[in-house]
Amino acid sequence: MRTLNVALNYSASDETPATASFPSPVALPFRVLDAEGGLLTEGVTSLLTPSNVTLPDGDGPVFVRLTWPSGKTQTKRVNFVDRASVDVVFSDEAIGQSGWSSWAIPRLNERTPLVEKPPLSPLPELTKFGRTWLRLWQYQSTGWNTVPLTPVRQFSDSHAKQIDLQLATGSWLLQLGGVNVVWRFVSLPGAGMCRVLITPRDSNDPRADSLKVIVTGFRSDAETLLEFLSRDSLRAAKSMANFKPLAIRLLSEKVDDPIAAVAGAYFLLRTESSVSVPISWFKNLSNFYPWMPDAAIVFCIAQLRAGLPTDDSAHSTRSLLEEDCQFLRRDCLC
Amino acid sequence: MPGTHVLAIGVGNYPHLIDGTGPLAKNPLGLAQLSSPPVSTQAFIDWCLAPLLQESSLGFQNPNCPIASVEAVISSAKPMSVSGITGPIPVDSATKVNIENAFAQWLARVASNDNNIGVLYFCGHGVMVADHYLLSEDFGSNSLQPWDKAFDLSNTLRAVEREVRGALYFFIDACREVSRDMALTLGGCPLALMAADLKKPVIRSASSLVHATGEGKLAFALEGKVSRFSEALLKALSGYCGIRGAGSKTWDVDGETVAYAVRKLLENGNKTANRRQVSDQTISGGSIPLLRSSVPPKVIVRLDLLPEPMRAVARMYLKSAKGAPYEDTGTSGPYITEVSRGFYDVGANPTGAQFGALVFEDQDIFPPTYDLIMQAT
Repeated sequence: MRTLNVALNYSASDETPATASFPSPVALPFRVLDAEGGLLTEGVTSLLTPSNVTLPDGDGPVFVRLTWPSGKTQTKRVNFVDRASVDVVFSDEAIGQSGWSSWAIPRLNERTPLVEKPPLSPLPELTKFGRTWLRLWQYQSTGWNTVPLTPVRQFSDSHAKQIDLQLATGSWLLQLGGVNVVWRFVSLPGAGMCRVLITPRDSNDPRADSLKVIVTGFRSDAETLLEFLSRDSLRAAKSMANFKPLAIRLLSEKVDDPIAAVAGAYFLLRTESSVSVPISWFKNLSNFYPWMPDAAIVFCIAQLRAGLPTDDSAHSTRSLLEEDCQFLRRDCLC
Repeated sequence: MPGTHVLAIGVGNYPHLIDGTGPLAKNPLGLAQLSSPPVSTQAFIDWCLAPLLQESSLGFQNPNCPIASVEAVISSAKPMSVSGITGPIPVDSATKVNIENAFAQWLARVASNDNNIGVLYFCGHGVMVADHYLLSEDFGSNSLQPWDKAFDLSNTLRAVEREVRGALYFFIDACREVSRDMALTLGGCPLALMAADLKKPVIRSASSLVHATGEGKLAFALEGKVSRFSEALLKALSGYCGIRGAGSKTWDVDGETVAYAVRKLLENGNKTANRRQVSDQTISGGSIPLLRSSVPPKVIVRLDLLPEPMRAVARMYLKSAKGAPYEDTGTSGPYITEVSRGFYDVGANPTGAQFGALVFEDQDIFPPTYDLIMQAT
C-alpha cells in the first residue's frame, strides 16, 4: 500500500476576522486519480487537518485533484518512485496576490477578473454598471425595516467592492440595484461578522445576474458544502460531508450555529440521507429559529419527503404552512 | 433481473396551434408547428434500441440494467415508426390520452422491480408558471378547456418519486418560457399524469432531471433537425461522459455526469449559434448509473495558438501520462482531435525558433470537451 498526505496551505486567502462568531478553517475535497482519470480514492483536506489516504500498489504516477466550490480544479502529479509515502501541499499563492478579494476567488468562475493574468479580452469593470446602490434590511417584530449600512471595513477597486458587516442575530437582506443593475435581494447570515463582495458576473450563462455577490459568514465548511450543492456537484458535496458525518454534525449543533445547521440539513435532504436523523431534528430547527425561513423550509421538505402523517394534527399540511412557515406567511402578499 | 424502462414522447404536430391542420385554438399562445421533436425523439429511441438491433452499435449500454422496454408516442405531420427487432413498428400519436396510457404502462414497469431504472424523455412545446407544463398534440382542441390537453410535469415527477424505488432520469427538451396568458387564467392549470399523494414518502433512490433550458428561457432546434439539447444529450451518452469509481472496472454515467456533459456541449455550441442555450438540472439521491461502459470516455480537444500566424509554424500536441502522443499535422487552424479521458501534457513546439516551446503539464482532459488557447511569445 502507498500513503498520500494531502495538505492545504491557503493562508493567503484565509482572512477570517478575529470577531467571526463561528469560524471554521477552509476545507476542500480532493480526488486521487490514475493516469486514465479513474478514481483511486477521495477525501477532504483542511487548513488544520491534512488528509491521509492509502492507495493500492501500482505503477505510474497518480494525480491529486483539488476542487474549488466554483468547480475549478488544481491538480498535482505524484510519483511514488521508491517511496511508500508522499506529501502533497496545495497552496493559494496564485490567488493570494489578489489581496483583500482573494478569499472569494475559489467561489468564482476561473474567468473572474479578480485573478490577475494577461487577459485575452477586456475585463469588465464595475463602472460599466453606473451607480449601484446598496440597502440593508433587517427583520424585526413588525416586519422588514431598512437599517443604516455601516460597514466595519470596506475595500474597492475597479473590479470589486467588499464590505464587512457586524450583524445581530436575526434575518438580514442586502438589496442592490441601479440604473443598469436589476434590483435584487441577497440573504445575509446574521449572528456575527459577515463579508460581502460584489463583482461583475463571471459566467457566460445568460441567466446570470450582471453583478455577482459573494457572501461569507466565515463558516467555511458549511458554506463550501452549500456552494457544491447549489451547483449540483453532489459528488464533491458528498466528499465534503464525508458521506454524512459533517452534515449530521452541523445539524446536531444547531443551537450553536443555526445557519451551518441549515447547510447540513440541505445536504441530508439532497442526498436522501435525511432518514438517518430523526425528523424531530428538522422540527426543532424550525421551532428554535422562527426568524430563519430556511429552517421552516427544510422541515417542510423533510416532512414531505417522509410522507405527511395523517393522524397527527400537529404535523398536518395546514400546520406546516401556517405555523412552521409563519415567517414566510407574515410577509407574503396574499 | 432489473431493467431500464424508457418512455419517449415527441410532439411536433399540433393541429390546433398556428399553421396546424385543425381549427385554431382560441389562444394558441403564439405557438406553431415543430419539425424537430419527431426527429429528436426518433433519434433518442434509435439510440436506446441500437445495441439490441446490432450488438456493436453505439447506444444504450448497461449490463447491470439493460433496456427492458421502450414506450413511445410521437406526433408528426406524417406517421412515424421506429426500428424494432422484428422490423418497423408504427408509433401512436402523442395525444393526451395516448400519453396517459403510455405513462401508466411505463410507470407500472418501472415500479415492478426496486432496482429498475426509469427514463422519461420529452421533446415538444412547454411553458411554465410555477410548475412546468408540457403540451400534447391535441392542445387547444377544447376551446373551453385548452389546458386539458397539456400535463403538469413538475407534479407528475413528484408523484412518480413516491411510486418507484429505483433510479429516475428525466430529459425534458422543451421551452420553459413563463406564459402570461396561463398565469392570468384561473382554473387553467393542467393536471399531472398522476396525482402526488403527499402522505406517501419519497422512495426513489435517485432522481436526475435535466432540462434543455433554464427557467423562463427557450430551447432551440434547426428546422427538421435533432434539437440542440437532444443532440448534446445523445452525444454525451454516446461515449463523451463517464467516471470510473474507486475499485470499479466500468466507466459509469450518472445524472451529475451526464448533466455536466450536456451543459458543456451546449456551451460549445453556443460559440457558433445565434441564440444561447444553457441546460439546467436538479440531481438528488445516490449515484446510480444509467450507463456502464468498459471503455474510457472520449474528449473533444481543441487547441489553438495565438497570435494566429504562429499556428502555421507550430506543432500543437498532447502526450498522455501513459505515453500516447497526439500531434497536429501543421495545418494553420486550431488542432482539433479526440482523445481518451486522462491526464496529458499539452503544448506547442515551433518548427524552428519562431517562439519558445509551450507546455502545460498534467492537464486533466475531462469529457466531453477540452479547450486551450496558448499564447506564443
